[in-house]
Amino acid sequence: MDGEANLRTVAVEAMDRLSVPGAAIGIRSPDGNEITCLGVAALDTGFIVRPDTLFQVGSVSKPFTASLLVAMAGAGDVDLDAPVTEYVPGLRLGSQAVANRITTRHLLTHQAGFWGDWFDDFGLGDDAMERFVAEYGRLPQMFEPGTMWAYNNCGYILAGLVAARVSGTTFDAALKNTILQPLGLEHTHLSAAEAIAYPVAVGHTNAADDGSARIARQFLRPRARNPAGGVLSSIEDILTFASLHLGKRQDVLSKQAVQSMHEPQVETYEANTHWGLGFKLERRNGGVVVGHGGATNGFRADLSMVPDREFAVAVLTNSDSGSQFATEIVDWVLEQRLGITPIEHPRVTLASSDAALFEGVYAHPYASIEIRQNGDELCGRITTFSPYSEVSEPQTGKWFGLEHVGDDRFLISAGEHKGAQTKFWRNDDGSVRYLQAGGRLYVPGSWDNLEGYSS
Amino acid sequence: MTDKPRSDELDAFVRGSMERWTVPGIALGIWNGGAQELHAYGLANFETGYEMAEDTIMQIGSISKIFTTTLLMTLVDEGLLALDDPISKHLPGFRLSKDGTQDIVKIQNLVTHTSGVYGDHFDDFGWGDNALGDYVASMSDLRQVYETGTIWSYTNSAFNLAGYIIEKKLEMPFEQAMRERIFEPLGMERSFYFPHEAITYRVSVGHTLVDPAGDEHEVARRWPIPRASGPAGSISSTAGDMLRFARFHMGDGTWEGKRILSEDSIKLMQEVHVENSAMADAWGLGWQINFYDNVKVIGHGGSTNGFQAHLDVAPEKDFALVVLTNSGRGAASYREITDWVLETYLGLSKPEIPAIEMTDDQLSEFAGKYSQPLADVTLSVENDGLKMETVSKSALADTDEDKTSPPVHLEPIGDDRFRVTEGAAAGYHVDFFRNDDDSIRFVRVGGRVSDRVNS
Repeated sequence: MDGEANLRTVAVEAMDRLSVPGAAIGIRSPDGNEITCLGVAALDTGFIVRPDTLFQVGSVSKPFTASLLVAMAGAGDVDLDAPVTEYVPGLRLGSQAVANRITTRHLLTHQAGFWGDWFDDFGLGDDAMERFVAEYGRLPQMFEPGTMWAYNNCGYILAGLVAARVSGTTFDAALKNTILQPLGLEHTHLSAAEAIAYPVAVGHTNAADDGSARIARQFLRPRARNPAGGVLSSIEDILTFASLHLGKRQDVLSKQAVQSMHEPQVETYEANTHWGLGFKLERRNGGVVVGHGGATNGFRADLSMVPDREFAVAVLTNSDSGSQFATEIVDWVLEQRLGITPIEHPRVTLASSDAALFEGVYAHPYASIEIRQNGDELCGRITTFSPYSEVSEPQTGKWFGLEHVGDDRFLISAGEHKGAQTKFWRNDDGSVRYLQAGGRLYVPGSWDNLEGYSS
Repeated sequence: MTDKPRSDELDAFVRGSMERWTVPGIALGIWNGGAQELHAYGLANFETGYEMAEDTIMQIGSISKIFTTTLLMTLVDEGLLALDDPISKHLPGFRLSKDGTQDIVKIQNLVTHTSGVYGDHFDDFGWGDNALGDYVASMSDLRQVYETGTIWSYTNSAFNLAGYIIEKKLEMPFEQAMRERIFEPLGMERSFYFPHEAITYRVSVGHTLVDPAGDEHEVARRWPIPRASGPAGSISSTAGDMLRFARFHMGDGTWEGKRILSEDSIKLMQEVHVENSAMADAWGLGWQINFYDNVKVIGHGGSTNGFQAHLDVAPEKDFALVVLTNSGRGAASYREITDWVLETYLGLSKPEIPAIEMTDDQLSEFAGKYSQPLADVTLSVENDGLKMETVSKSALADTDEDKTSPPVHLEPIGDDRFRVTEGAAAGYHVDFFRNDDDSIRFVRVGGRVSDRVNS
């Protein structure tokens, strides 16, 4: 059995188990490209997934946006370390005091510190992004820029506006002119209006009762979000984009520019994990994995690269359960092909005083996490109430165990988020300042308790 | 009930026609006195091999104008505007290029192609809610080609203007008004203006000829029509939905017991309002009108970048036919299919106007060059008729390159009227309009008047 057949077997088993209707898996190595397409683009049409089928890649768009800004910096058009107000004068933020201290580099590395998950719809016009950012006065500042990492979609949209302002066009046009067209990515687009002329996958969500896949009719739309998650692309094109980050397309980005994006800029709340310019950098046994995941309504995607080994693996799926699928495939491929494995987290005993301290409710605007003591361990559950979801009622998940792995950091031991990490951040006096999970900061008690950072 | 042998004959005729004109895919619907047939032939995407289905969504192009007119008539019924109102009454401050004309052009002129305003204006004002308003503002620069009400010449821009008046009167985006007042009440669940709405359903790509003189098709990559030209032609729909719309227009203005339009308005739309039209025997409000053996058949065609479609409705026979094609040469197919179906199902035919004789001397009067912004036409005397050479461009195509059509022969059928005798346009009329001194002012080709160029 050759490697391809093996991968196919592993992938088909996982797709069945997780109810993933369609997937495209791409591997780029010094031996060339290997593409495996499985399943269907949409359950109702039965059209098969092809190497040129477009999927929503969600936040895998962020490395595209970061590549654009780094290319513009290389051309001398943008200084990543200049205050963002130099490019967006009059920028209104929740804390005006910090506006002049936020740089484009902070935006691309999730260090800006303002609340980053606000997604109101400003339509499809060329002015959507400008109008969106004009509302940033509503985003509370949560920490001093450059002191911490917290996942920030709004920061990426602001970075997109920097690119638009500096290039004198729209973000979409700037990305096309500077990255997509030079790379020859003809199956990479930023709108349904363009994507509809190509084979395109439809998203699927999993039914609450039996987990079966159903078509998600709400297609990605608000244009302002494009820098944070608006890219639609094919597995072939994603591998070409990966080749840029393996230093093979110096006509678009120099090797030094690419390397600068893969250098650690900030430590995250997860063990062994830093962030570079647009990429997550995860240290594993045997190497550092440079990558990014993505999620939109009905789609999940992942791009993982090991630049030292000139290796990349990408997974595109049209399913909400595709994150689990992508994780399994990426881990399997990295282990099989490169002998790279995730670092195990040793259990560390939790002090009972800490357990008592951490117990409570933590909230952000669209979710809350309840933490309870369970003997000498902690458990938790998440309630989500996103105004941007097709589901309007609050959804409360099952209780999951939290294994302490040291440094106020915990591993979720079961359920949908199994393997994910959370961390409690403390104030100087030892009290809990934030709980961080899924990259987001949760405020103890209630979101209304957020004092907001301003000095 | 479907007559099986006739259905086989229909299949054979449609497949033969598709082969003749290399049309990739057709979806076809027939309503015949209470019985509905839906048929699908060929492919929805020539590149991927995805098959056409009965419910595949295709662009209907200018058939959208009947929807716009229907929506407009709901406002007439409510007394929000009158067909006799000058447009200036509803657009204060708006002026046409020939000042004062805005007080002369009536609402009715907009939906009968008689305003005299230049029509093939497809400038793109983006996807924002301001698109239609910005488009209409730009209409002030369009040439007044002839005196309002004196000539029929196909006028896309006028329908967009009508759409904007609807938008203003109802204080909601045009597309939303259509959804709330027409699509939803008629149960048209697969009819959309926006690509992001259509994209999660089974949807076809368009195909255009690589070379207008050849037979080879390619996928048209520019799928959408600019939002501002939605009222003129950007609905995408299915054969089944189109039959619902046709049945509604054969009724009394109600649908499933609910009144949508007054019976008077339904009837008024179907009456002859303009006699000397091109592309059909006469024109109603929105509708084209043809007489087959004295039976009135109302309908409309549509042509976009890679899609051509036609709807024909014979209210007195409770009969409707819709042919949706995904080819830029689909009209050649739907014309012969329409004739075949009307003859086979209803025994109706359209007697051909006999050719007349003209001397070379008489013919030479018409010879010369004619021009409009999107086409240059050269006529010369040949074989008892005229040779027509056309160099044209489409405002909606993938490229703005000029395309040279194969020359065609015209035979005289009236004093100032000719008929194309060969090629995909065989049967279309070409006619002439004169100045007061009897010299030739315009030729009308493809439904549009072109100026005679003095040489």
